[in-house]
Amino acid sequence: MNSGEGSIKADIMDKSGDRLYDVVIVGAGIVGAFLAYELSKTRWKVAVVEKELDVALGASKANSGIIHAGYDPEPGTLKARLNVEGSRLYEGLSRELSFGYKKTGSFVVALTEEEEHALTGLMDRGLENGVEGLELLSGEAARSLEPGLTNKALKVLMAHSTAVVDPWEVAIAALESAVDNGVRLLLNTCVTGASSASLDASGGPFLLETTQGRLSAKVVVNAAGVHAGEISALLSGGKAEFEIIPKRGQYFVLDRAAGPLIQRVIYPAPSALGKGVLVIPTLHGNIMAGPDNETLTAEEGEAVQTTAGGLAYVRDRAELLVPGIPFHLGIANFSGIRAESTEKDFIIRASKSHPGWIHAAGIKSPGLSAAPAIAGRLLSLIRECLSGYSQKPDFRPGRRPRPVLSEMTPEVRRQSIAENPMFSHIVCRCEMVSEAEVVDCIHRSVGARTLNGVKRRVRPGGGRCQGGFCAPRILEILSRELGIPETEVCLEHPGSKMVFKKGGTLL
Amino acid sequence: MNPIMTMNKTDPPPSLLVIGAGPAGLSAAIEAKRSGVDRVLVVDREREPGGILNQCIHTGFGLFHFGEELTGPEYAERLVNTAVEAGVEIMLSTFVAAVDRDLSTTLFSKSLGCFQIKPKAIVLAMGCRERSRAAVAVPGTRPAGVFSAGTAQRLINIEGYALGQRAVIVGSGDIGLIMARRLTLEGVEVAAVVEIRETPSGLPRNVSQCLKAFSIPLLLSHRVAAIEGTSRVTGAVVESLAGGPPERIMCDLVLFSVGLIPENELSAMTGAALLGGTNGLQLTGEMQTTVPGLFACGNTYRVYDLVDEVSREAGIAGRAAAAYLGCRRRSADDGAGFARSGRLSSSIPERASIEEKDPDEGSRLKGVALIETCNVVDSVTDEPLLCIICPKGCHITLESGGEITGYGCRRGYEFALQELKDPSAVLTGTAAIEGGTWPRLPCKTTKPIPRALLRAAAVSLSKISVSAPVALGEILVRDLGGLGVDVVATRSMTKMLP
Repeated sequence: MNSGEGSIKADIMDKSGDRLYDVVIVGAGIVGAFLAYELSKTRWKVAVVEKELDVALGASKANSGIIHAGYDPEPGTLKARLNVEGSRLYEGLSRELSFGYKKTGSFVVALTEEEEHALTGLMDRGLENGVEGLELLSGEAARSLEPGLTNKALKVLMAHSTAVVDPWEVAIAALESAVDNGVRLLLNTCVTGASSASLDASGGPFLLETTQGRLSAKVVVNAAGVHAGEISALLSGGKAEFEIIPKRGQYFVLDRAAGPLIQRVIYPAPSALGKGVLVIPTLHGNIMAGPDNETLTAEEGEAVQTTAGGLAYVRDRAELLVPGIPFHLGIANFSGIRAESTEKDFIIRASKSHPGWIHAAGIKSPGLSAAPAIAGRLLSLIRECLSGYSQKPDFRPGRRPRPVLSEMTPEVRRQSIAENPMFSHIVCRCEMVSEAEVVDCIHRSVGARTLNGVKRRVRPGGGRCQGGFCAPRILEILSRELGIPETEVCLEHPGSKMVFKKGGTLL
Repeated sequence: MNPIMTMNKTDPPPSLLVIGAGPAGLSAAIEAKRSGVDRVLVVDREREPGGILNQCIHTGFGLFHFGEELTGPEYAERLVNTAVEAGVEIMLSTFVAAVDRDLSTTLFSKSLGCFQIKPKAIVLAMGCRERSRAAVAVPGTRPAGVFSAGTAQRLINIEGYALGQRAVIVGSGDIGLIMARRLTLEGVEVAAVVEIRETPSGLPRNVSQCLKAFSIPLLLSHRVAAIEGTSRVTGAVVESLAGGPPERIMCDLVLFSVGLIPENELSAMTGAALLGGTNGLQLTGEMQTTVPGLFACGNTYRVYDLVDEVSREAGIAGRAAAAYLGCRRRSADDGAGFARSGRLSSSIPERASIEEKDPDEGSRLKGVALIETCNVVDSVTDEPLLCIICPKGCHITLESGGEITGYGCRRGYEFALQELKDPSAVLTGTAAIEGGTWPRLPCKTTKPIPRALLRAAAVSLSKISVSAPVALGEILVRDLGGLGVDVVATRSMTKMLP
């Protein structure tokens, strides 16, 4: 047991003691997750290495959770193509992998004449990108659909295909299915060094040094998000092909009691700074507002703190679109990072020196929307340099659906409780979560290892009390189910222990 | 203590269902039962009755309701025993998921699964919840080591965890103040209590006995500008509202004590009218909501300062529910609650008022009394002494002539005498317990001990180790540290079933 690190010891060898993989994906974010899912359909031996105690903890965790329609990216770019392609795949994937997906539609709101022109440009861009279901509305027509919208709206671009998801749920779902189909997920495993044996044309196999030992791979995919620059530099002797410029965005999440202020995602007209501050109806009926856009230094890359200034900015900008948002009903603030790069477009290509070392970097917005399509493109790049591609005959798509007590019919509920009485033990009052659901989420193939991991999967602590009531109970369940003392249970990152010294004082 | 009542699905529904077995629910149930309601069922989602009192191991409860100063667990156990004697049924580990306007109630319990009952009347007594960090939007990172004060209180006092070594407390609510003292006695250094307002939000008596008595800095008109740390919290950046450079306080624990709000999810489901602003309930003078047959009491109605007042008004709710069910109180001592209850219907203060209550109404001392033994104090105190006997917080002054002035009752006078002669306090804490339902057993000294010795005595107290079962009031240690006081258990604890 690796006590200092949240008691997760990844076993980097497979059952036969082999450390050689066909493909190693560095980073279990949304891109790594969808790629792992695609690769799990093949006979290749695949591992995903992730330095955190859970998946999707970087840029994939804290973002707007929107599947953008695709009218925003510049035509002809990878961003434009993969956004439109990815967003079309999502609805089917949500059924296949059983994750939440809600097509809300969206408004882009023009408040000035100048912005009105911008909307027309956006509409043209969308048509060029192949986006369907775009419509320009008068401010009045838009307000009849969204009474919460500001009466200063002059014109609105409506997109029917915009949708919302829980980004981490998407990544967990894809990885659960991938792991069920044979992919190895190595958590708490940080890549610290790499070298190339250059035995074949692709430059591979590659030797990766990790905090849990060495492993080797014929092909490496760098999907390390905000750390993609560092991973790139590992092989090329300290010189990265590109740099990542982390950008921070901050958000408010409001209590469901704030009510359904809006039905659709509301965007301001885009500016040079990006998509701007949005007002978002989440999958779970909360209203979210954000993000701002702040450049961080490389050292600050993962300093996802919120700031008074950033939050105030978000509040002010959101007010312009939807006046009277009850910010006093906030239940959480968070900030996320976007892994922007020194290049304008997504970086999805083999490294210049080694065809078997493939980058998926600079995946900023619309990265979540594009991710399924990015995975497809990465698969093509892998096939170019790795032989032996063939479909796995016993691949089983999807994953076992998660039991959700609060969504069960009375009949299903009765049956579930009869089979497992833990369904009648409620551990979270805000979101009505039972002990059975918590236990299930710990024992799934990409199971929760931390308090926040449980919260992201089944929502105790995601409600208005933010864990005040349920945290001690979840701590107890995690300890019991993982077979570790409560003092080893982490909140989120390695080392983030919740409590010390059970049954005693510091005296 | 803790009889777990079982119920069969075939049992007739109780006439009165009380939701929540804290002080409000139990007090209401006792009064309803005594008023002649045939079946009163109290349900609670916890494994034990008593509600939040179980984690409030400090003293300061019961002066009005029981006529003596008790700790939270003692108050709870007395109520539970009274309820059981009165014939109230208590069902634990039972969660109420929904209450409809027609009082149909959906419940979950491990033994019965999901089931529905339809009582003739309901008393809502779910208590309150703490406002979280997000409600005050304190910026910074989200590391481990940040808790709301009440969650920390539970983790330390009941579950027996240590949470850190150096703490910053954000907000000066009562739980935060109580926890500042508790942490100090547990050997944690409390670096500061940071309050954004100009005045503390907790009771004056808690500022006095929890902060001043332990020299814990209270930074008024200050705010926490950021919480720092990636895995665990490493510090808090604190700044004065008056300007000046922010200061970084190193700490590995941050507690939030930024207010309480009534638990109102079930209340809202029934369609009962809520109070704007406080999130509580609109009640009539008889503690009835706008829904027929639906009553409420305790913190789910509005946040109180004093549990004694909760019990008193919950009693009104219990009797009113009984009256609604056609039962009238049989004993002669009724009416008091109803007589007083008229004031509740009009403008409702955010905090309960206890002004009309006096613990010694018969023996009230008027105005001024001469200090009998003037030689114990040879100088006139500059600052008035704050009375901590009850939440009123009288300012007591020793005049140059040796007169004690400003107190409101005999207890206050006696408190002042004691404070001037020999400042002391009852020490509360927890002892280790083998084989109990919890790993720590709350306990207290039988008599006050000198304030200067509290910390040293706390060390001795925390090293006590006993075995279950233990009865309420059982002596755990005689003559703690030669101080001439015994340590007694403040709750009973059964053996945990293997």
